[in-house]
Amino acid sequence: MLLSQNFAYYHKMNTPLVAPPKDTRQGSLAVVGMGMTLGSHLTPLSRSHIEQADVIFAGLSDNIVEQWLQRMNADVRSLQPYYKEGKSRRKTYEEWVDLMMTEVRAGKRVCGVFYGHPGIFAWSPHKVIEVARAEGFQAHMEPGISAEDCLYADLGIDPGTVGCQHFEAGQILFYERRIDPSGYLVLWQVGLVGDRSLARFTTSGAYRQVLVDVLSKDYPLDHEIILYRAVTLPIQKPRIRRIALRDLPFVDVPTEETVILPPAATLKPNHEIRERLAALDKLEKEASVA
Amino acid sequence: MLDTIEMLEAIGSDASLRYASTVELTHVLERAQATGALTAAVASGDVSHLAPEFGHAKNFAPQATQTFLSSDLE
Repeated sequence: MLLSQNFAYYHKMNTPLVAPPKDTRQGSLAVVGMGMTLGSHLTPLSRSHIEQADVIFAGLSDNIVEQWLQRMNADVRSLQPYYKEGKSRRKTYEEWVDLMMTEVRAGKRVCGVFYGHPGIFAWSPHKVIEVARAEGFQAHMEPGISAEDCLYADLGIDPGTVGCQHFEAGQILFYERRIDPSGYLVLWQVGLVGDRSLARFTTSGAYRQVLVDVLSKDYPLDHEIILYRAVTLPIQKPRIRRIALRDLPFVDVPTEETVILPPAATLKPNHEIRERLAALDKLEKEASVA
Repeated sequence: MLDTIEMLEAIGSDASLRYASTVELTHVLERAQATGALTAAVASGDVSHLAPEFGHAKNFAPQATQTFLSSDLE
């Protein structure tokens, strides 16, 4: 019997599905995404994890969303106080892993709740699952609607049309990366670009000027770029600003904003490969006729 | 009567409310006896009006900066 038929049967019979009893001695971990927008994006399954957990750890980008989360579980512990200006975020993220694992080892059902998708631009959710599994605990991640998902909807971009590269902006500076200007380029956390200390909450326009200088190898300085922020409250509208690349150092770029560079070049046909494919087509056609 | 978080959740999960015009949504909230803070936030498009109700704490966007450089710099 198909799964859908199974559910239809249970609905028809009005028979509640009863979950199997949990082993209350064994700790477990679920890391879930809250989505971006209050009330709109939280999946039924993630909500169920939140409601059934013994303890919640919250890494959310909006204070009001955090208060909404507190309605769903009586033991919500914010991870926000572990951030401090001048303290390495690497240390903060390691502390988050320790906090969650302490409760898992104590036999609790732990749920880590992170804004957007918990596995995108998020070190500690992946790390804590790795640690929990290595110690023999059940641990998994539930996806959430990310800022990237909202970006495609709000800006009308389909990453499949010409391709789309995503980088944390710092990677463009710290490493030699190959940028393809015939596709979209999405740069995350531009507001912090160039911070090598991991201890600052923002960097100045001088750091963004370095980014512009690097990008100017592949894009003209008058190329129109987009600064984007998804909404966290359902009464907001997405923030979308269009400026010239050269102006990026001179505008305010909060950490939650993303920079999108639309294509600056057309797709270049690969004639050599096309000829190879045409030859293959011909061979297969001849073989089918013979 | 719903409180502000319940109203936000209702707006976020209802297609008609989520994309209602500012005027329509303001009328809905007035009829539902929403707080002045929420009505003002919707009418002005400025969510800072909610601060008196929820506090002024601004969350740092968590998980920013994943490119850890310590191994490169040491």
